[in-house]
Amino acid sequence: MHHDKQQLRWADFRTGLILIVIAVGMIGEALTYPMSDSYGGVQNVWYVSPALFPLIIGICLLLLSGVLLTIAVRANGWPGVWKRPEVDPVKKRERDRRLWAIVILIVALVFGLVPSVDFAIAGCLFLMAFITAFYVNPERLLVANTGLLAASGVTMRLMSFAGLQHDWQWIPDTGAILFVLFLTYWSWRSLGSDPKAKVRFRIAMAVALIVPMALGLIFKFGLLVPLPTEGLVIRNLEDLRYALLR
Amino acid sequence: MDVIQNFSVFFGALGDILMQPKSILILMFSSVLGILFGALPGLTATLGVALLTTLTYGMPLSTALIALLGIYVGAIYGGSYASILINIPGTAAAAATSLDGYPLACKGEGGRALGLTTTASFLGTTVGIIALVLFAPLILELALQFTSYEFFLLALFGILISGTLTSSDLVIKGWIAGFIGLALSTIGHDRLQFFPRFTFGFHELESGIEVVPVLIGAFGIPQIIRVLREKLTLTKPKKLKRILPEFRTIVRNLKHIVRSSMIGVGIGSVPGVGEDVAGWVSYGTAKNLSKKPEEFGKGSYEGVVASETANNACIGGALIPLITLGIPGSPPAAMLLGALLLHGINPGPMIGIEKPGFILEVTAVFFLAAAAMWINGIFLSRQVVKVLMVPTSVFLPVVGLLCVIGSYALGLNIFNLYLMVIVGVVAYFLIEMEYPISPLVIGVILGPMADENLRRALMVSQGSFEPFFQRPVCIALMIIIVLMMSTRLPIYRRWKARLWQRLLGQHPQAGGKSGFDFE
Repeated sequence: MHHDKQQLRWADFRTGLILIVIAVGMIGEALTYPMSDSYGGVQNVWYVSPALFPLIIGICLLLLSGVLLTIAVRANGWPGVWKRPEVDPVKKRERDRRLWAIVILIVALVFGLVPSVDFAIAGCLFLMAFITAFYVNPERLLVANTGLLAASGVTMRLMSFAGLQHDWQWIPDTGAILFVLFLTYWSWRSLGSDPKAKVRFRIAMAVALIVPMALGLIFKFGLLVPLPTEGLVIRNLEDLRYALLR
Repeated sequence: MDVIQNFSVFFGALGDILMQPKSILILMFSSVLGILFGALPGLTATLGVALLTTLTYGMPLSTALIALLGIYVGAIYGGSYASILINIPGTAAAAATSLDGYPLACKGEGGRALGLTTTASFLGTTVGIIALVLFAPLILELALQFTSYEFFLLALFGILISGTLTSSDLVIKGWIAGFIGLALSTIGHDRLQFFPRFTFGFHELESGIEVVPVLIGAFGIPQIIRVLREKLTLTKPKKLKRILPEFRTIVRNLKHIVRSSMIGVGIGSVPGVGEDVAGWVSYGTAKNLSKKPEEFGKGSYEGVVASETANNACIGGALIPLITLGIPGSPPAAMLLGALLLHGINPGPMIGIEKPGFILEVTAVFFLAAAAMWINGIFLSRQVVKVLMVPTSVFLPVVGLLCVIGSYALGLNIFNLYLMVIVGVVAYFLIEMEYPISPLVIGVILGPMADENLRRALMVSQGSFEPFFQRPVCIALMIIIVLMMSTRLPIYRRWKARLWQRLLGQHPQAGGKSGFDFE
């Protein structure tokens, strides 16, 4: 069998197992819903029960997962589904590094920065870390800048859990700005004397500064959509707008 | 409505848009934006519609329609830029275009190819519009006779056919994806008894999963991860020369344009299949019917015209089930459905009664979107080509930020962001294992319809399944579903192989595989 197919069947076996667990969980949970007893003063019958549709889906998912498992076992054999088909370790390591870097960067933005820091600053920090890690100097900055953004995300989230929001919003915002400055310095230092990398760095800086600011302005003042967190930048811009339009 | 009234509604809608400079500006801007989304490898039409939905939330419906259809039509066409000029399909819909488009560009005929695809895409879209106007009222009339039985089966049919036709590996992966989507749709209060299902104490889940963050996550995040993980680097685009196509070239290719348009409309009207399949099927058909099939793959104008006409004609086809039945014909149409729901429009059989003239309004906007695409394509293509030089590692992080603000802006809810990321990462791994994402998304959208209608139907029949076997449309739908699924079963393949052997006395070429292949 083709190596890719072997790899797919290996993954199918694992997915099949996970799906079986999910389907069984779904069926188990659905069985706790009112089937024929009374809910909200209404005597239930099985065909209007809120459990009916989840039960059907759960059973179908369970059957399909069983078929998926069978296909995987038939294709790779019983020992084969447990043993991962060999892949080029260097290529895999490089791809995995990039995959996890992207996931960590997005998770740090969404779970750490956006709920705790002014949107414009959070966006700037995210773009600065992301673009420098993937565009400016991936060899040296991929891991370091991803780690830095993750650290900033955790720090800001902890600050927000500690109650540093609203009147104290300037503290996480200032912290994030310090992270931006450090990231900029760190990335600049890694460039050495490579002129191409310096041009790329300037592009990264421009995009990281302009895009979040533009998005913030469009959503806040153009579409009148409140941003997830408004702090040092957005609040001051709003004050400025009122001062100018008063 | 009679014909004269229809014409007056259509031209009235056209006139309304053309009389307002703001509407024209939005139309042209969204069309250019669409072309850019299509042209840039890594961005897709679905993502474009998804992100623009956020921006159109506060707009009146007519303006939102202009923006959304403008970007949709533009993005499907825009995919041809990257296919022809750098040999990387800008969107999956334009994948077949690169086979002949790039060889043409290498011969110095990239501009001509682009001009021809622009006109072919415009003509394809126009045929799609005609199909929408002709068939939508007929289907609406038929759909008015539908009851809960038919709607439940229609939803099931939409999910299963999408799963069957979009799976690149095992067909059951498409069905599994559809059922995962259905499972997600059950989260939250059920609509009949308001009973909380699968909320696990999270009050954010009580109102159910919001469709837009799921769509943005499912289509946006995997795209960012895939492109950046694979280190996709773009080559320098080939130079454009003459862009405006000659009249006789269009006339010479007219029969290919008409045939491909028909294929596009037909495939578009099948739920969840989409523009990429239309492009490939049309390309394959053109090659099979061509007098010079040996030229395909080496720079054949027929090939380029076939795929580009079909993928744009597919939009009109995809809008037919979307408007008449509430079932999206393609992934961008699924996003469009989400946007329409946000604007308080419930596509389905009642649309003709609740909002008379809506189909004609959509048709008018659709026509203007096609015209804007042609104008932008012919006159702005040299500028658009410059965008192809922007590195993916610069614009994809920006897209990431857009996904975040887009998912947040609709519900002003941070929880939607968490949902978007989780769905996005899971969707990425599913795509890596060759699960199609369209059935999952269609499952999320059609799940409530299936759930509600199944229980309503059973309520009417006091728990009896008999009416499902007594209503003609139900019987037809069940036969199609059973046939569609059973033809993928190994037992059917073995039976077919034996039948062929008996009839022709030959060994079968296909279908002889044993076991659960389901391919």
